[in-house]
Amino acid sequence: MQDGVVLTTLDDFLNWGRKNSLWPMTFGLACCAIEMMATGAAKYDLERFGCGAFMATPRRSDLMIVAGTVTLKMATRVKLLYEQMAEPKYVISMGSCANKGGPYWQFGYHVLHGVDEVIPVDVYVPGCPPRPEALIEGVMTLQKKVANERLLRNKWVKHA
Amino acid sequence: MQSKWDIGEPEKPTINKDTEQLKSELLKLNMGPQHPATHGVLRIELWTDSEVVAHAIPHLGYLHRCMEKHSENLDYRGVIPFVDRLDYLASMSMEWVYVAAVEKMLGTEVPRRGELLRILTVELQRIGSHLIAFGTYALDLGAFTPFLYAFDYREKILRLFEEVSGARLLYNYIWVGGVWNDWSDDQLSRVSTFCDDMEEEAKKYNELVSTNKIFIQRTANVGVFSIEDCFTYGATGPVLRGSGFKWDLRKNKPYSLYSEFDFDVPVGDGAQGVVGDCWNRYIVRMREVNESIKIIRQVLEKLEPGSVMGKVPKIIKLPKGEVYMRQECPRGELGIHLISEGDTKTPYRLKVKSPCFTNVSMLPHVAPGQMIADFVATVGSIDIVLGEVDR
Amino acid sequence: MHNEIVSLINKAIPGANAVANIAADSKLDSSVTVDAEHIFKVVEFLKTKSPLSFNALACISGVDWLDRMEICYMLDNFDPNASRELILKTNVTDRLNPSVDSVVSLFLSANFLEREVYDMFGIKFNNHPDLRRILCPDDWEGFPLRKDYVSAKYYNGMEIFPDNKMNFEDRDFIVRQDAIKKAQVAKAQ
Repeated sequence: MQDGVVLTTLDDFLNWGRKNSLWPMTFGLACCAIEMMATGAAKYDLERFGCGAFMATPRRSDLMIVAGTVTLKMATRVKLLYEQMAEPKYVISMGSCANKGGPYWQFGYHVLHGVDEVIPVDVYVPGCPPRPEALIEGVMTLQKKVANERLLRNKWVKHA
Repeated sequence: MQSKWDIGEPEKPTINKDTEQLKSELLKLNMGPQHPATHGVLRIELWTDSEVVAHAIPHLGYLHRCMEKHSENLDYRGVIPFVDRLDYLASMSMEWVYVAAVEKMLGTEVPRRGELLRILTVELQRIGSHLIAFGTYALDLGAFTPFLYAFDYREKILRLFEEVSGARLLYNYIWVGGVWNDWSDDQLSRVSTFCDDMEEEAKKYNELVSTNKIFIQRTANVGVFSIEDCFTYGATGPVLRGSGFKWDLRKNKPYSLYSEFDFDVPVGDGAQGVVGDCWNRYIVRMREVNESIKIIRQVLEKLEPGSVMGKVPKIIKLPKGEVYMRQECPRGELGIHLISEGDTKTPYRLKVKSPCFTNVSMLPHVAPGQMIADFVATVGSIDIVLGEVDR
Repeated sequence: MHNEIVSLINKAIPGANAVANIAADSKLDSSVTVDAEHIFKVVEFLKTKSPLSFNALACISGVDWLDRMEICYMLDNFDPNASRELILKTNVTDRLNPSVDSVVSLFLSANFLEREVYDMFGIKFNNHPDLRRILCPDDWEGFPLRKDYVSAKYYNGMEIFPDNKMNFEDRDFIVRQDAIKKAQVAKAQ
């Protein structure tokens, strides 16, 4: 019993597990999805950061990377997919289109101006499309956020 | 005709007599918009009789980004970034079609080096696009390794494009009058090395996937389009060539400097399966990679120093009239119908004839009687990009 | 080529009133305009008549000219030796409730293409087997590519056009373009 004991808090232990096994959903919308695929592929290898196991179903994924333009027709489906994910769940908004409509902001009669109008977003990654390094930076930012979570406090509740 | 598109009471497929005697109901199965095998946000409403598809009804528009409305409100140069985002796997090809339409109306002379560099970039882009088609198609059929190989080699193309244009995916590189930036000799020599490597790599892909027994069993004799089907549905590109019809705008209606180049137009020959099935469509793409390498090598021989940008007025105003420009893009013929009112800085109307849009409309034709897994193989083999379908 | 096609059409289909719009400049494309009532017969004629035999319909595009609706059919002939392409146009003067005959029974590609034109311009195609919206949602209001289309502020509770949309003063030519369009709309009404 001398060597095998590590003392930690329950919060730290759970968050350590969560942040290093973020499973994103295979959910590509537009151009950014290609960069998301490139991030997961050989050269950039998102797996190094414990975030590369792309799951094809929302039921067993923790992270939704909204990669691309969210149109009004798609917005209700994005919301539905988000609701199908199990808690705890996180959202990265990838690219200008998902952040605020991007280049389609002005005359896009069919483009949602920011995915945060329908689902809550944790990390915004700018760029059109963001480079894979930018997406990795976004994932690492999210991991820092996960590491500082408190177990008995709901992250959606505003009061301290 | 009426019953074919009627959603109310779909006809049951007649596969064999045993299944007819069993009492069965048609099951509605939604494939997409979030589905790994639909290459984006295509939604297909499948009516299936157990595992056999009775009807497939594509629902489009989940990526309708109002590009045509935008282009009516932007000046002629400002449209180019939006044209980029049509087919985000082959942005260079998209840019060139639009720019060629504007140049035809404007009567611009493009310097020879500019034209050759355009051909160079577009053929490199064609290789990159076909690599993605290869990787994701194998991924659809359950093989993950080809995806990694394909993306690894695509990164080399992207690295070159990034150096000359500053972007990895959406370049805005081909401008009205020429290209934005010249390639240095060092970069051109790296293109040459890339061609040598890619030729070896393509052989490896063929050993790994094209002649793989499992792959052949999944794709041969599946999703057969006849030439008549392709004509009546207006299919072009690898889909038409996979059906055995030798048609390539670069050869049949040479634009730019393509008449100077020596290359073949690969068609599906039925080496595996029958002509017009998924395997033949796939192999057309793989052979086109080799043809593109051939063209790139000839470009490198022909290149001479010179200017890359022609003389273009500072504010582009086109004469009153219209032009319909089409070129051979990786997925088929892309057409731009550009109408100018005269004396305005914006297009009056810009209509994009997208090859994927017509190819998607072939799915209801081929689906009845297929197994669901075969249907996935068929969807993957026509290689759609939803940005172009929905615009 | 266009003049020959026009004379052939006029000989075969009386009342089609085919006119060739030969572009003054070689930089531009020429086209053939026919009457909207005979569009089905003309397309059938162009498809079946042997020297023409256009065997593919590449594209259908609508244009809103404020006083009329124009529909352009891009016809192709996939012939490796002598390929031809033709822009066939027809005009619908009733802008509020435009309708023409569908050509789906001749070219199956017209199914999706006509649905798109209906979606964007509101042009109804008679005898179309399944005329629904294709790109916009089914409950969408208005036809977006018409020049006088004004986008709704909200769609299903989602804000489309916020008031602080854009600093229009930065783009003076857009303002001018809008003024021209408004004047044209007023003139047409």
